[in-house]
Amino acid sequence: MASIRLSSLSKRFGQVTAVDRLELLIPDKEFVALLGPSGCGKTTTMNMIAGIERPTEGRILFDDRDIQNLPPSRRDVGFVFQNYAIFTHMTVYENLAFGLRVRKLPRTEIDRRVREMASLMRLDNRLDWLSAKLSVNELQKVAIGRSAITEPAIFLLDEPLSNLDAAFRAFMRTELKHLQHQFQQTMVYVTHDQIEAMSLADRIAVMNLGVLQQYGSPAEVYNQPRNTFVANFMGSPSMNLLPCSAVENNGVPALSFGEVGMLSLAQDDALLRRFRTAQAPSLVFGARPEDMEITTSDNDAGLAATVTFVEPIGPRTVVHLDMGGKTIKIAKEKRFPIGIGSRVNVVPPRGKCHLFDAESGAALGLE
Amino acid sequence: MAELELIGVNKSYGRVVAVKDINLKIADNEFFCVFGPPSCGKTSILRILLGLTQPDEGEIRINGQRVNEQGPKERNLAMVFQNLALFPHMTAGENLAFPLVERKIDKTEVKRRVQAVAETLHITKLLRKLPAHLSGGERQRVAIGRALVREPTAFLMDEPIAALDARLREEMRVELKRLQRELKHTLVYVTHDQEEAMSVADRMAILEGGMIRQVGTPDEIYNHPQSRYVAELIGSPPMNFIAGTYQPQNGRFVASAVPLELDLAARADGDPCDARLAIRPEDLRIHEAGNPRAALAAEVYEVEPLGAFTIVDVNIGETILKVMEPGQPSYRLKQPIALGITPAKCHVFDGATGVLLKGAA
Repeated sequence: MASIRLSSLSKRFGQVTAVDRLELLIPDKEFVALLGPSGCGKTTTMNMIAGIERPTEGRILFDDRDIQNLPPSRRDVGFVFQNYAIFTHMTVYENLAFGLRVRKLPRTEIDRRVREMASLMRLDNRLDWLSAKLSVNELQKVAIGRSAITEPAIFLLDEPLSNLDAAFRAFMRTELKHLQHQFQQTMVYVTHDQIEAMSLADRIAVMNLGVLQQYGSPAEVYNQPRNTFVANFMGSPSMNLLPCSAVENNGVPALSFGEVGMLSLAQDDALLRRFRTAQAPSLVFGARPEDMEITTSDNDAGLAATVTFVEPIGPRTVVHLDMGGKTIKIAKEKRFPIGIGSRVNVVPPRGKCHLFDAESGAALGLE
Repeated sequence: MAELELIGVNKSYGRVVAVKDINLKIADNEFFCVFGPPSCGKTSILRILLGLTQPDEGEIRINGQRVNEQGPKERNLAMVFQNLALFPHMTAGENLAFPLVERKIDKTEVKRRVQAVAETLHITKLLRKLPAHLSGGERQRVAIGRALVREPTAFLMDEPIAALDARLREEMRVELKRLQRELKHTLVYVTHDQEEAMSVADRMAILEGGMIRQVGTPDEIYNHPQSRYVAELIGSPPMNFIAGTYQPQNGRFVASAVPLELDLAARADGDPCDARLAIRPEDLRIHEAGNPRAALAAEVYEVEPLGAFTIVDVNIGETILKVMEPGQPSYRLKQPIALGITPAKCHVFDGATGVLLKGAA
């Protein structure tokens, strides 16, 4: 069992800074996702933890022990990649047993652990099969099982689900999370998919261009994004972000959205508190698609918009609206009867609105 | 302006069946999606429509006219491929003009048609730019424009946005739909992404092993799947299935692995048979443990918070079901709960054949 501390960790490739002074504490037994778009430095970070890449600067500590000079094989780290490396000429049983045989464990012990793992991964009835005969989905289960069976202190997974089909991905997400709860290993999981990060991780480290943007629980990262990058990256459809300016309307603080309308802050204490911390009048207003309401009545608490598109996606309907030339999206449960071209009012959710500084993108008034 | 029709179309390569018994009528001005897993025959249907592949049997009609004997040029259907295939060394305008220049069409006419298409697609300002300087959405417009200058009868697209990342794909599919509405052209669209198909299609066909399993609007397909195959393929998180026995004569479903008996308020002829009860994650309800109106006692297995909604995996013994709840409810692992199942929302499929025995209301 091990915690991982990354201390001022940087990696440069020539002129390119892949990871920039990263500070991260991954507590023992936690499931941490490194999340971000391609080029954000997530895989480089993982490779440094594994010992495949050497940091340019900074330190990596496992349980307060500097592991700089330990080769990958002695770091007690298990690995699963997107492209599973399975021995196709071996049976499932032999693949699962491989890591234990290398460690020269007694035969009865190996047999017990292989059968346990097979049952956990629901591969019981595949043990005698040659791996070459397995489906892609089953292969990835073997790959995860083969790595997990040696019970490494730290388990690293690099986009292990991205080659799987959608239904199986949903199933594996659950299984992977359940596995971690059973094994209690420290897991570091690299992904570009915010849904995977949200659903699996105890904590998410959101990265962009080598820089850590925010580190927190899924709820924190989703509900209290620290900047517009995180606000936009988390959630699907993503948060609506609208440029606006701070004004006073009859002595009451308000946000002006130009021709679209004005939002008085008199009714929303939380938003008013954020507003009070603003340093400059140029702001960005944020609200999640599922929190916003649409009304067709004349309501001066709302912002004028026109429906441009309605997407029925299974259990949800996403309504696209044009608001002064900018597209915003509102998500509703089930079907939502509204026609394209309808002129409506959009009402932001009281107590659930976000405010950012337009220039820096930093969230205002976060606790 | 085009209505496309395939009548009794079959195509095999040796012993490998590409498509079988395809009967399909795509209406004028329709956004029609062909959906299915890899190698189910989606692309074969496009190639047969285009005239790149000759069917072994069956007829292809465009606007009611048999076109089997016509080549791709005569059929004049425009194909837009996955990688868009713009020439990187040519400006957007030169890319648009290319199909016309190649056909040695008069210069002033080329200019006129390029201008007209650019206006329709709102890309007039981009004509002098190289593809490398265009956004993904702009590139797509240029690629479609290049097909449009030929004044084709209809558009065919084979996974045109599959290579893009998730966020961009969401934007592009809306853009495509808007474009198709503006252009008022028939569009046949191949995809393996069920969310994409649901989002853009007026109607869709679902394929399995070269055969059409169901054709309908996204709503019909989602709410009234006619087979277990379709029910499984559409929807995310996926449909839940519970094994058991269905008694058509009194409309009862009796589960085999969990203590569940449901009266589905249906009567039909037939003997009791092995069956699967199917219900969507958003149609299951979590109540407090012991709630007398709930159908099943269960335990929380895992919780997947996704922000706007939460997927709660619950287990009844070995059986795991997915429940989708709006917002961010909190549950602890192994928490006892009661599961509410509304019989009207349930489908029943034959355990052996997967055929629908009783649909949801």
